[in-house]
Amino acid sequence: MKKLLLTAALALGLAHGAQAQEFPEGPVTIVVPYSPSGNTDVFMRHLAPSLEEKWGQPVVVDNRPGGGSMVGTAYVSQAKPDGQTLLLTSSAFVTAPALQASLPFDPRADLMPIANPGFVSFLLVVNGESGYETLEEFIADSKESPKFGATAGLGTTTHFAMEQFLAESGANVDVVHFKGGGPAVVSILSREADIYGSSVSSAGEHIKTGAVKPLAIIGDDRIPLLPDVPSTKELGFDGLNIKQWIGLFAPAGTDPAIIEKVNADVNAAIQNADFIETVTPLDWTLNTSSVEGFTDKVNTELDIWKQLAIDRGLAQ
Amino acid sequence: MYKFDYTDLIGGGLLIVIGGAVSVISITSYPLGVVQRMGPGMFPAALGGVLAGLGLILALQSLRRQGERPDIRIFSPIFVLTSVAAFALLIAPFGLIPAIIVSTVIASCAELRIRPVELSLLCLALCLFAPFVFVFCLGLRIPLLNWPF
Amino acid sequence: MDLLSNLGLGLGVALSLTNLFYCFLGALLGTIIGVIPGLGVLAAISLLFPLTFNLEPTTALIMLGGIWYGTTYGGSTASILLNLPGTPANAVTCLDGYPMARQGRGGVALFMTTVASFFGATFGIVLLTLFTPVIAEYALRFGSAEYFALMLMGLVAASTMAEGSAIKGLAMVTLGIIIGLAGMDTQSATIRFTFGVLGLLEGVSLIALAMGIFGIAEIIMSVRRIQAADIDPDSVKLSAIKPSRDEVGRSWFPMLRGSALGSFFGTLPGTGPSIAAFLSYGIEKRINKKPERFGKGAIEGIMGPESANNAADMTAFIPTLSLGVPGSATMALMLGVLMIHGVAPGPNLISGQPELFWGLIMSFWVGNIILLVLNIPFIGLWVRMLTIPYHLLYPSVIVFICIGAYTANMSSLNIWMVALFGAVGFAMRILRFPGAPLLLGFVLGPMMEEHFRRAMVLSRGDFATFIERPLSAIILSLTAAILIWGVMGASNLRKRRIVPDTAPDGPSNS
Repeated sequence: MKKLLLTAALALGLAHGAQAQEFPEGPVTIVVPYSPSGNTDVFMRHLAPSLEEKWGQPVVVDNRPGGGSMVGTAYVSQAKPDGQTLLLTSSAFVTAPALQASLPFDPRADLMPIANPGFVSFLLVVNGESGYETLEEFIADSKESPKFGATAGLGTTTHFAMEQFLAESGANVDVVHFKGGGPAVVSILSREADIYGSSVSSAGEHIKTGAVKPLAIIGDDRIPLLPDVPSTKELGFDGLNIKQWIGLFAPAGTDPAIIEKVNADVNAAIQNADFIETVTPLDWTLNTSSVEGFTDKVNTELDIWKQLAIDRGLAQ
Repeated sequence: MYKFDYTDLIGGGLLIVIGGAVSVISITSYPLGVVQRMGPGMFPAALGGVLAGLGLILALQSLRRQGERPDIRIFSPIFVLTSVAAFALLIAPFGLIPAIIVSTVIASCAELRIRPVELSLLCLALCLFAPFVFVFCLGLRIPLLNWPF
Repeated sequence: MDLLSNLGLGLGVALSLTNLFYCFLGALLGTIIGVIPGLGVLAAISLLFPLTFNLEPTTALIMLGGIWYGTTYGGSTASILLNLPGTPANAVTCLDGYPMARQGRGGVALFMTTVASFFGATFGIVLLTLFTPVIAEYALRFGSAEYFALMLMGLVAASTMAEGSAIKGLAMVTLGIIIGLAGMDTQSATIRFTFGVLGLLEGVSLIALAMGIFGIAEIIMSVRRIQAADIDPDSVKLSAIKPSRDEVGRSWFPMLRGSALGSFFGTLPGTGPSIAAFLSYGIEKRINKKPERFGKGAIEGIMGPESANNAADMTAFIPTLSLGVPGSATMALMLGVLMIHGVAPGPNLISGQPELFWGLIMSFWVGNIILLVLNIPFIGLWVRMLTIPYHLLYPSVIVFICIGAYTANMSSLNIWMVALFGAVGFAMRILRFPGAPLLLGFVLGPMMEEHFRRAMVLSRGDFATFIERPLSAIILSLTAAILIWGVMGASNLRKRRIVPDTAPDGPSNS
């Protein structure tokens, strides 16, 4: 009986004639341009089972790391636009183009934004024994003697978080790039650098032991995990709003109906109770998005970071 | 026996060429920066210079001593490298089995002697063993056989 | 007392039937992966990573850990028997292991490297058990200036590593560093020396380089030369694995020094087993009274590096577990296993997840004992590999290298790189340039540049930072000492050469 209903449903779908109804035609490959076990990868691997259930097809997570996400992104931009190959990347998608003169793809023309299922807030952290109690103290002290600000690498979202903070606050800080979030947190522990715009997951355990002290949450609101830490807006920095987000993209030329369907399916998949339970401890804030809204966000952010890079003298 | 150590003379010459090229590319294509914020060109430009310098010393030394005839082989590098290249060409479009067979056959030619029975058995064994290790045990996603047309 | 109860707790976890099974499976898989040239531990663990979703995090880590240290055990086998490294960390074992095998002492070499591996691993585990929090603390004192000083020490110690002129060794180190710089520069996002090849953004693959320079070049030189019949049939019997008393005596100190060195490098994120093995070889050759024996089958030349890389394998878990900072891509995967299961690595891991931490450490003991038991009976089997006719062996090795290179990131680019570096390696053999320093330069170079540039930013352009920071100053003075020692040693050697050498120490393989 169930089978019969299914066949009927399928027949109806075919009769309807819309291509999106036929999607997916086979296993869907979702390219993650980072190594297995990174933040983005873990998110995708938890999301995959819900999507498999929705689509009745295997969802294959394909890690293609390299060039700070550029290799995997370029790979998808050249893939066949049939919805069978998608890209799940981070906000490096909008920050990296601001710094790199020659990209192997055009972020506006070669990929179509689909959905923006989640984001992570950044914290400004200092060493626990540095003596700073507030962000103001740090900024004031930096004007007495210049400080060093760590990033997880040039062109990463943490780099732009640092630059945006410096542009807004006028703190006297030189930016130093480390290779990844782990070494950047270590640079705070070892006091090689003085301040870092970290995600909660990188610094969380060290905040618990007191080795690292959070001074502010970057953005408008406090976060539930650290209710006592003020947001930068409360401290008077209105323009600070950077978040690390993840987004799903398709190669340009994909049928808009498929894009809409995937968007709806992703929005539904993040409502899955098991998924929420596993992902929220990794400090993701889940987010329901529309294709249009996310496309606007991507285009706006591409402009914002490009402008910031020019203002701060970073662009090549 | 040669009058000079030609092996080292050529080796030194190659180092000078490579080192020089690296330096020139670095200086012309990548920003050098300043000491406090070194650009991406400074380190390779300096290394290229060091390499060329070492090559020069090597070449000069080689003129002061006699050398032996180097051991140059012709057929084995051709067949071995072609075998690797064939694998690189075939694996993506045709899959694992054709790539294994073709590169095994080409590699065997480096022996300059074909043993048809042993070669067939070797191909068979590799076609069974390699998929077992990589596809079955490690869960590698490569098609065993693919027809791209 | 506290420690004892923790060890008991850990042993209970490690000896549970499931964990024991996965530990065995990991060790066995690791050995096989290690023996197969070209298949790297990172590729293997990446492939198996999704399987671990359905396992308990402790069990998953125990299995992946088993693969991680198992490959280093297995990797020496291919180095010794075939002169091609099973993994890059075993590349240096080729230098003396292979001559031993050609002299009919392959069994001894395999047995002794297994012992060295076990010794080194045990040393590392003891440190891991007793001092994890302390070591994590001291590792924090290593800033960019110290890392740079360490890398420099590594290169100096290793510059005379291989046979032949020091100039050639230095030239190859320099070339290795240059090759290592290809890809996207982390400090400026400038793309260097990729010649428009997108896949090179992440740099040249270490596996492709090692397999080309050592593996393919070795095959090119050996085809039609090596006869299986050259091997004395008695040398492949199981009874032939017994080392002489002299060899045992000469092994102790290299093992101790190698283990200490390996343990040290393992704890520093970013450095690792390969560097430790190279340095150990360099140091053993330096301080040996008869350095001319090295490269011709000196037992010290395999005992030091093999204990160093295994010790480093173990202590690499210290920063990974206690700081949450993975030292390598493989360690990042281990962290990923924890994160997938919602366990946050970091300073609270030991107190918060004692079953996991102590269970994992005790499983290392168990795994290493399994490897010891697994490897010794296998030696007889492996040595028989030497009796396989070379015309059957080498095409198989080529195929495995190709598949291994392909699995690293599922693109043919790496296979092309193997071919390219095979050609380079062949040219190097003809021109008599050593391969090992090139590999070391390749591994150290990019880190050296990164740390040097960062140190310059942090000191605001003041070179004095390298001398003013006490740890960096100590390392640099050690480096200077090694350099002076080396120069004096070389001139002593020259004096000695004037007196004609009487008997050479061992049969030469050339």
